[in-house]
Amino acid sequence: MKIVAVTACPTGIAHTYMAAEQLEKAARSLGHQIKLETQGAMGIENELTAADVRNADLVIFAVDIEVEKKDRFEGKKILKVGVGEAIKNPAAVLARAGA
Amino acid sequence: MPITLPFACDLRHGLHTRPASLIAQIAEKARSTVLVRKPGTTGADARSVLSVIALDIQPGHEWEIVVEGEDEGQIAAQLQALVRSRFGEPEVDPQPPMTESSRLPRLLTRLGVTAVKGRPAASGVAIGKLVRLRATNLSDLLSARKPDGLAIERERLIRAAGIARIDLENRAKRATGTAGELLAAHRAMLDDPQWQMQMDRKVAAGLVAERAVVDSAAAFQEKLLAASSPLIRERAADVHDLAVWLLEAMGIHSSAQLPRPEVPSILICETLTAGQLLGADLQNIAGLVLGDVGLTSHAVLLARSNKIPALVGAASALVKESPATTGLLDGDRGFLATDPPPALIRLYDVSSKVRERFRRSLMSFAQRPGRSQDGTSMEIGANASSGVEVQTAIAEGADGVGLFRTEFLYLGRREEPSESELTETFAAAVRHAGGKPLIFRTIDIGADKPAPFLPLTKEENPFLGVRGARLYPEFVGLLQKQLVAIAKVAASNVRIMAPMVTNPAEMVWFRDQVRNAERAAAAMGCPAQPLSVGMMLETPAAAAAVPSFAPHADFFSVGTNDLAQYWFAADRGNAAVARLIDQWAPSFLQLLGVAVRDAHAAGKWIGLCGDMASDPANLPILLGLGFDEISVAGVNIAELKHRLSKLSSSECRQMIDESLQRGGDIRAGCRRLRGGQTSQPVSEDLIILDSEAISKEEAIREAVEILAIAGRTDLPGELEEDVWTREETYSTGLGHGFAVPHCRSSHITGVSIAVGRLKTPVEWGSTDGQPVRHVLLLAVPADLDAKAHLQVLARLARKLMHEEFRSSLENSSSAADLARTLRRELQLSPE
Repeated sequence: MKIVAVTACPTGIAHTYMAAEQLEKAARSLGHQIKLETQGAMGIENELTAADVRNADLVIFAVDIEVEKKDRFEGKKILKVGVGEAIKNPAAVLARAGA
Repeated sequence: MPITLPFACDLRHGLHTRPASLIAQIAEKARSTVLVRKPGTTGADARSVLSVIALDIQPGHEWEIVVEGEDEGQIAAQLQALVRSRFGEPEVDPQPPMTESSRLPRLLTRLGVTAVKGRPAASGVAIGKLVRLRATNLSDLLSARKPDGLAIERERLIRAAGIARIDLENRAKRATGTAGELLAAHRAMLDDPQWQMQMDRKVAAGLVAERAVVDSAAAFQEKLLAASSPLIRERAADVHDLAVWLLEAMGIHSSAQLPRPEVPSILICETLTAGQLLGADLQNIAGLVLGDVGLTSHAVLLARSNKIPALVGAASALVKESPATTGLLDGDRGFLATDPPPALIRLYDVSSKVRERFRRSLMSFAQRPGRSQDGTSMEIGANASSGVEVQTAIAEGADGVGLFRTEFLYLGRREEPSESELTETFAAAVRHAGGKPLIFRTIDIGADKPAPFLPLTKEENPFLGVRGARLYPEFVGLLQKQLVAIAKVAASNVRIMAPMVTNPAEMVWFRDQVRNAERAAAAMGCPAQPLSVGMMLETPAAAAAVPSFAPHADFFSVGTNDLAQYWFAADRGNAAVARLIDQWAPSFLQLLGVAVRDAHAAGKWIGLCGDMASDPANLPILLGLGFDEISVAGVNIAELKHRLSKLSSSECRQMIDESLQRGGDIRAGCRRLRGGQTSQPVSEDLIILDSEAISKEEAIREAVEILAIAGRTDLPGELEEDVWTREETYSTGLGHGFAVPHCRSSHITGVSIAVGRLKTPVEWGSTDGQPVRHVLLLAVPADLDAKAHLQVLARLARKLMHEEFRSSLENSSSAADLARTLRRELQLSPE
């Protein structure tokens, strides 16, 4: 399955990247393809393109703040969870999204 | 014709006491009358400091000086020069700005502490009993008495002024530092002509002398309190003191004396005058809480110089509203916790233990010779003038005594010191030096530093006259006596140097004198090996011509105080020109560089013993210039060696070369080098592996203290607050026994990772419910957008999600090991 995800936390120093790492790890171990965008103190990194979003089977937001450039995801079904949840139990987050 | 000098006030604090007294000094000597005024007003007699400051001349105000009389031209010129020099004041305020958060630290709420907020006034922490003190009203001190007639009351006033004058002079002589300056200032105010006239008028109007004192004080206080500048309003407390000194001289004892508590106590009172503090036994005064007084009030300055933590703006709340009996005062974070709970006291205990540990680790530096990070050795010596000072310096880690001043044995003496007195003093110095290098500088006196027993001719310009070595040919006996005394006690570590040498012939002659003294000592049965004979570089003529002196001098030592005043042709004691002396000026650094290069080319040792060595900020320059030694005064030697160990001599040399060649900013270069090591996010000194913290609060406090000790934050309280602000959005416990408290803050100098491994795991509110054993505090400057640094933290956050990484941190056996692991995994360059 093709998954795209965005992570973002208030200070953008630690939790954004922890959540990204956890989701990546869990998705790979289940044999999925995943592309992860981080919106942290360094701004947007590994930005998802329109094509990435179009081709994705699943979209996950693991965020505690508003996602930037949200219009890219219009029309897509999105699972939104808190950053903490993604860090604590990434496998459960993926399962809820339908992976 | 009166001369009017118009000015616009450009002094940061307005025309306050210091500039006003400099004007008064000139006005007192003038035969003309001198007025200070705002245009269109009557103004004040310039000899009266109190009246001048009461004019309330503020930055930006127009003001003028009017001189009229026989010497008006000369006096006006002197005053003009004085004002133009900005009274020798720096253009920027040397005191760092203080922050004043209006709320109490979050930490206190978390620990359930009741506290009163105040402005931080003097740094430090105090715990003690609260002692509340009522302010004294001068009128309450007076008893009803009928006047004994004008002549007698006048006589009383004059006698009281005389007694107070002598009393203050004696106290000023005994006191040092801030206290000495204040007493001298009070002494000068006693002679203020307006103040005297005011009191005289009151007795003439039929008041008793003591009432005249109290009423005059009240009148002046009223004027001063009406000023717009807080700095001037604060002087009202000095007028109060002045009245107290006079009343005491009349035998009226003010009940204003401070209590002498039996146990450590925190004193709470609305106002405290300098006089109260100066006369008090401060042994058990652990802290001070004052009312609405300024940070420049004398009480605050004295608290700082006595290292008593203090708050201002908090007294009334404690006197009126709180029944508390004990308190914990934090003079940096600005609060007093009333009846503090054990948890808070324990937290401060953690802070002080971290600091104690740092002090101990510094001591290990003290006992090692001074060495830079890249292995260049530079001795850190100390200046001394007695055996006791030598003993203290060596105990504190000095590598030797680079300057032993011998003139204190002579100054102010009616007769020459005896040979046995000299021998005893020098023997004590040699004994206490314990084999470390000890440089005796032979007598350095002249018309500027007179000794009454020496018949010196009065000179027009003593600094350019007969002083130092220039004196010796005329007083050979005096020099010989001293040299023999040194030769008698000399060991192989003892060296001798001559001050104020101008040409090589003087050194040839001086060497001969030393050889004569050695022979004389040998004839008395004290044969010693030949003493090493060196010279000071104090005249530009000598500093720029080291090769011509090298055949006659075994070593050199730069005296920067005199060298700089001769180089810039500016008297360092004259406020009007002293600011021309800039030891960072390219021309001066070039002179020093040439002297070092030439000394080394001749194979000679060269040190530096002037004040320039005693400012730690100069360390990168002195290391870069290549000095073999610096000899310091009043500096923590262990800390200096610690700083030296963090500097690279090649980087320092490069920085100086670049600044001198391209006209770069050498001050900025020095700051950059000082920050060199601290810009690394990971450093061994930010890691504690045996933390005794037993709560989240303590663990965060400990990490913040570590950052403060490493010089990465000037305001640890604010940094701690930023960490807690983040922490309260949701817990930073990330499970598996790890927590990453973090913040972006304006109070951290560079991206920093502080690590604590706790002996007892603590509850952190982690997602997996497990207690935390490893705390990694990440601090990022608020204005930083350097991606490279932020990436380090992003990398760390990702790594922490992997068990292998966590266990490599858990298994690190030492701070060095853990720092290495972190650097490797985060792809940082090894240190």
